[in-house]
Amino acid sequence: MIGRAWRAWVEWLDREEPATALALVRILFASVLLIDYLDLWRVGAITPLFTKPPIGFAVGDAWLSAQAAWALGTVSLFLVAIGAATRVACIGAMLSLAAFSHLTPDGESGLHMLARVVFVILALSRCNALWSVDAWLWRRMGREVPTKIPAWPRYLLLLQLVWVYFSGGMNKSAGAWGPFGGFTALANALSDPHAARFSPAWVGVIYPLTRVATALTMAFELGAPLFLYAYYRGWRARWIWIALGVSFEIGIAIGLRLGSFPYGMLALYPVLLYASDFDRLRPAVPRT
Amino acid sequence: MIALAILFGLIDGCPLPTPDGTPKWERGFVEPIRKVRDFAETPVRWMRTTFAVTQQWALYQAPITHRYRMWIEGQAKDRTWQVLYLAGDPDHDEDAALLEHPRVWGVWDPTDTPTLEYTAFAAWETARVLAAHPELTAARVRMEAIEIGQGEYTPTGQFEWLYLRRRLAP
Repeated sequence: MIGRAWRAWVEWLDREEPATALALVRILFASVLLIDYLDLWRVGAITPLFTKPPIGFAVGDAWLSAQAAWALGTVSLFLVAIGAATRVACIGAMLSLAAFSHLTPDGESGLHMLARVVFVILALSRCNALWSVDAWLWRRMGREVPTKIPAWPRYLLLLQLVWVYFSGGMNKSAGAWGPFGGFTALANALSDPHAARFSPAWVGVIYPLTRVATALTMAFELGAPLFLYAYYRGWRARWIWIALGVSFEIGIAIGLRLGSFPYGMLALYPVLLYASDFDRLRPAVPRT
Repeated sequence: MIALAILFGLIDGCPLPTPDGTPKWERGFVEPIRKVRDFAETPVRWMRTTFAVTQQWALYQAPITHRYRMWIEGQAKDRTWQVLYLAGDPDHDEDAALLEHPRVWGVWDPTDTPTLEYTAFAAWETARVLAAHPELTAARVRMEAIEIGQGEYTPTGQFEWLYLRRRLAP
């Protein structure tokens, strides 16, 4: 029994697949965070946000100053996006994000914490085997560029993404997310002058729809393990969960001012697809 | 290594309520589980603190009806207060690009308590207002309690967490 489980585990870790999903995640995820970093500079938030009083309002300490962490992060994210010195750049991006978190703990969203996990997994992967400067250089140097890479980093990212939603669903403590609170959570969020992108007047018009959307959000988050099962069995039903996730992220991107969060989450969605799904989508995916 | 990473992730992500938020009837079994979890995490605790990562995710946890709305105001020489920034009000949006940047928003948007950085933020913001407006004699930041209803919010007129800065005499 144990021997069989061990063999299955080893076989699972030994699986290989084309680098399409991980390369897409590398490019999209790093690009979203790079825009996030550049936006900090655009609004002039770097110094006040990550420097202690009286210059700013940071409350913590880190091994890097605000400017150094921003510079390290910006350069690293650019390198990750183009796939140059990818492994080192992933660690650089992670360290920059960690420094920001130590300096101003409330100045980050769940996406930034998730990014610290994602970049470590990407650093351990061969996400740079496709659409990257690294792969181009290897070819120029006569080194072999693998057409298939280990699949386990994608599996880990898939588990991580599913866990983020499931854990998020379990930790939704307010009654407004459930039937006893009337599924009013999204309507409340869309009416909150701190978070809402638009005036709340339109929320009243679509109020019943927001309640349906709240119920679907909970079904989506708590149904994450069902997605894993459907994925394992190869059921097409997994597309329902993916479609709910895409709708959820696009919905909050439109209605709430959550910055890069929904875009960063969507940038991870390629890990939810099989390698064969990319084969079917190939005409829409740029070739190297 | 991969199995260990998944295992420690699952242990860390064990959905336990906070010690303060644990109902009395749950304490008998939640606290022993918490002790076991904390002990099991000992070898990797340094990662959690150094890299600020956890597997307990709280995505928009509690959109409740009792919320707040931030006011930033300046006092003129005739002692009247003028609104410079009012959250959600396009007619009073001074410095909105910075204040509403999602990372900056995170440091002043309260839950049922102010954020860790709120006082430092309010001190910085009031100093910034006085520097930008030499005509003002004082600046303040405060949060007005609001009640969210069906697609609207009602101001209660009650303000909390006032931070006031007066201009020092030259």
